[in-house]
Amino acid sequence: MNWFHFQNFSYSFLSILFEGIPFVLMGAILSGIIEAFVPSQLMTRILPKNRASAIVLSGLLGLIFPMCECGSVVVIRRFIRKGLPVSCAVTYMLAAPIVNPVVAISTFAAFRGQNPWMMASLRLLLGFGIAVIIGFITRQIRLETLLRPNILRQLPHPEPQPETEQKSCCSSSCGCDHHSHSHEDSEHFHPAHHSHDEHLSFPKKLIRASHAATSDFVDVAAFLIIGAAIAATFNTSVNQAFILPVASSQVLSIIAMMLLAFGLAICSTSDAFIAASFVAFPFTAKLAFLVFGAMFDIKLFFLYSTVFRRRCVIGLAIGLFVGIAVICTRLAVIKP
Amino acid sequence: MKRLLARWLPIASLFCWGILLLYFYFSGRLSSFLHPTFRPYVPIAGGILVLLGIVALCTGNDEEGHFYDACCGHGRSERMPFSRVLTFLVLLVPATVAALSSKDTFDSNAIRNRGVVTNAANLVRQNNQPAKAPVTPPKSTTIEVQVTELLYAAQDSTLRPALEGKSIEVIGQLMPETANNANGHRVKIVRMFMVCCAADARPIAVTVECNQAPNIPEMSWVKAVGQITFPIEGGQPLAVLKAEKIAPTDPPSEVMLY
Repeated sequence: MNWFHFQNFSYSFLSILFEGIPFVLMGAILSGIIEAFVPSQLMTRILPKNRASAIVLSGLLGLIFPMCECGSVVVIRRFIRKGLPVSCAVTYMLAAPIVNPVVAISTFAAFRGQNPWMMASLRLLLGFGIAVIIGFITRQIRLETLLRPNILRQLPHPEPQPETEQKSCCSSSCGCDHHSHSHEDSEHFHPAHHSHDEHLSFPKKLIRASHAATSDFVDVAAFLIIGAAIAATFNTSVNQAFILPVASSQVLSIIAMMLLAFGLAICSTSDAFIAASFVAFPFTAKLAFLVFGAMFDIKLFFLYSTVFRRRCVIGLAIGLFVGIAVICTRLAVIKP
Repeated sequence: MKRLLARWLPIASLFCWGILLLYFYFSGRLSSFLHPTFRPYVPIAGGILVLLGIVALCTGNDEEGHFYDACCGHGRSERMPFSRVLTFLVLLVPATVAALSSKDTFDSNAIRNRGVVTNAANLVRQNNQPAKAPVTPPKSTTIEVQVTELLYAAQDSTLRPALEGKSIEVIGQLMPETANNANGHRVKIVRMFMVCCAADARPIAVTVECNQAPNIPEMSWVKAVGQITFPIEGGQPLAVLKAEKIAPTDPPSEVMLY
């Protein structure tokens, strides 16, 4: 264990947590507010009826609801329960940490002198495009393959199930008929379930929001801690000089920077400053770092696992890794 | 038992995390962990966590004793007591152990693993301000400079002649020089350059040349005084301080550079 030094680990680990916990809490509070104050029907009202348009629009929601990657996972858990189609939720989850004004400005500022306009616009464009593609792919996948059982149970009816087997999730307690709610594959969708408490008074809604925020914070922070522990081990124990020699190869540099982004698990609001400091690496390798790192890293692996089945999370990681590597390699021909 | 765990473990987690964040902020320890931009979020988050804990404590929860989480009592209420305890332990044990044992600094192994930067071209100036020379002092006085300023100066053709041969004083942690140091007369003065948090901090260093390597333990805080020069090494100008004196000193109030 000569490579592992607890002093370095604990310092790095705590710093990741101190940076990440406020953002997870922000996501949890927003999630609580959505739970208590946003009517289920609102999602159907603000998103286009056409699912394809809804997915595309979800990729731009980060411009209105900017959220870093830690917070966006908490928010989409609640959105899914509120009836947002999973494909739209996934699109928002992947796009919001990139397609938002804070990230655009920080990327531009960090790359001043290194083609800032091109880097910021390509990052946003790629982030948006890839998130929308993943959203469309998600639309084709059965919810029971995608979602963890506990999340699936909170949907109106775990689909796709034969109609005769459908059970009302609330049959035991409220007896409501929640059938005929969301259909991931249909061109239109409905709110997942009504709110039982839309008639509650404001103070009671506040209490409900705080309970929901507490619940989400406790759930997600635990996974952030596991991810932070692994990221801290990586970034204090692995000699990063091993990665630097690959900077001279276009393909290897892209792969190396994506692996680095995965291991370092830096917040998308500030990762541009880190990427810009790798001056030896080509433009496209840094672009790959910025796009992949905001969509998937070691801590996100655990955070995504709070919503999606482990197999899907691994599939998403591989898909994003290969997709972004291929796109950036092709881009390298145009902009080395 | 199930009700007890469902009710009290989340409340305990909120209070512990809230207190931990507030403690780190108000004790001043947080300054070595986060960039100043991110620090204000920590006490706010700590305060909100304590507030959420108080709300949970005062308002209780539903008759089953679990927090409202989802439609009709699914979700958390179905979780096994073991799962709740495990979540609670994950939330509290690693952070508490790290907080109690952390020395709030990296040792030399982490610095070696990250690779020491001696060329400002490998750094990004966050505020994008052009590098500027330290105020030119009256003759024969010593200029206090930071490691970053020396690295930037080495890359700037107008600053190099302005500083060349000037007497300067720089503070940092002592480390052995491994490159271009055949006779062993060189050491490095290292500082950590932080962008967001300590996890992304990169060591930056200025080379110090002395008649004899100082007999001071590695990673000790030292103050080096001498003449700054910018010889071309490896095809690039390098900031080299020809030290007249290297002496132990107290760490600065901000151990990180930004």
